[in-house]
Amino acid sequence: MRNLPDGDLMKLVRQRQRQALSELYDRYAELVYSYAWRALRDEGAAREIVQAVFLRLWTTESEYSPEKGRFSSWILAITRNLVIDRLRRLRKESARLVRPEPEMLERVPDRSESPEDRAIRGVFRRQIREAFRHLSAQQIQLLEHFYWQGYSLRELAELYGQPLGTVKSRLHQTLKVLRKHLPAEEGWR
Amino acid sequence: MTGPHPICDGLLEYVTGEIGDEEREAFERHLPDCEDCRREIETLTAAWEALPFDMERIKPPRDLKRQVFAALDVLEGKPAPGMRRFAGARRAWMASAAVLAAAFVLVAGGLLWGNVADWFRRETATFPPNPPAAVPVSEMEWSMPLQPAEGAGDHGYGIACVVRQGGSKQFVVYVFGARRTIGKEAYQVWLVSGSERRSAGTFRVSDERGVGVLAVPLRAADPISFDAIGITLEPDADGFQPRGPRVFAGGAPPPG
Repeated sequence: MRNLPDGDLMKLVRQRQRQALSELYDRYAELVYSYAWRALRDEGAAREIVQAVFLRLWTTESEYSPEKGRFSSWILAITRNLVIDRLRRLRKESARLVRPEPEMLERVPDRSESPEDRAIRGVFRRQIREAFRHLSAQQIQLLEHFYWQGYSLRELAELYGQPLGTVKSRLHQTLKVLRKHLPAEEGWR
Repeated sequence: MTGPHPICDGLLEYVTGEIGDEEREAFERHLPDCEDCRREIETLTAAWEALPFDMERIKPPRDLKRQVFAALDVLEGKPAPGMRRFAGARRAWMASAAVLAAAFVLVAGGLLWGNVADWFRRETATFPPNPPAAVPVSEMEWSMPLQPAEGAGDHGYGIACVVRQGGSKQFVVYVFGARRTIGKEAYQVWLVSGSERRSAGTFRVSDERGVGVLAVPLRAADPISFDAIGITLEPDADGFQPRGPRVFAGGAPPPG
């Protein structure tokens, strides 16, 4: 199992092989948990998201195909959907339960990872941070609202008091600037 | 916004996944003829997929893996190992009710375990809520009256309903005037679709007035669909098919 590529493990998961799910958990639980933590800032909620993501892998009808991209992108897309469902539900349920303020964003518990992992991830994070320096404060805020907080384009148009087309082209432009300043690196995980 | 076709306007929605299935298919159909969009997709997707790396990596708690696989057991209809540990009929009943509830949530069309967890968490919240507005208004979204089943006399009645409270929903069944359950006996609620019967859960009646309640959390977005509801009195709460007599029914009578 340990040497199998992600796509093969996912095929085994579809044949109800728990060991394959266990291996995928070992490979990706940290990514999913970190993502959920970043978006929700709540340990209980992050745990529930991890659980929901891995149960979704077990039950999903949709196929992962390696040609379409990295497994990490695929599992993060699932994670983001579940996180955003939850954020939207919370927003609907109560105006008091909106996300924490931006200054909380850096207050993350530091659980240890190996120095090597930290170094590699540190490079990726530095690279994206570096690319962020080319964005305006408004562009960074737009990404925060759209990507992490899951506001829809329509909601943002209303929130910012701008036509939908304007919000869309702002987001488009923001992503293009980011891309321009990211190295053409593959295999981010 | 880019490309020459009106459909190119959906590019951003396509890349970010904010697109419905139909629109996505239409968008993909136009791609072979639209070089502009193909190029833009590549650019935007690379940026989009880099976004999650703007986060601190945090190791998940050690016990989380065990929790995930215990939930998988429940999903698969096996009592989780932790649940077997409890001695006593009541615990066993709770475990099997949890299994059935989980199965029902799945059958009802989706899987967001968080809702179940929310539900349990809400159970432990302060009561009464302070301030009162901390708990959203409850509204009955749908209901179906239940009558004594044919041959079960004319005693008692019930109601099945879906109650919405804020973003969460519960499927709730009440019966009144039901005979008290003895020992391991339990009432079991069945959702009837065609010739298929799916268990929605079990409940016991220990109340002098014969009041019994079943409440199962649902995903907010999921419609529940079935033709009729039947409630049987079972020898225990562990059955996957009806064994005992039908005592309440609602909706269209099941065929056969």
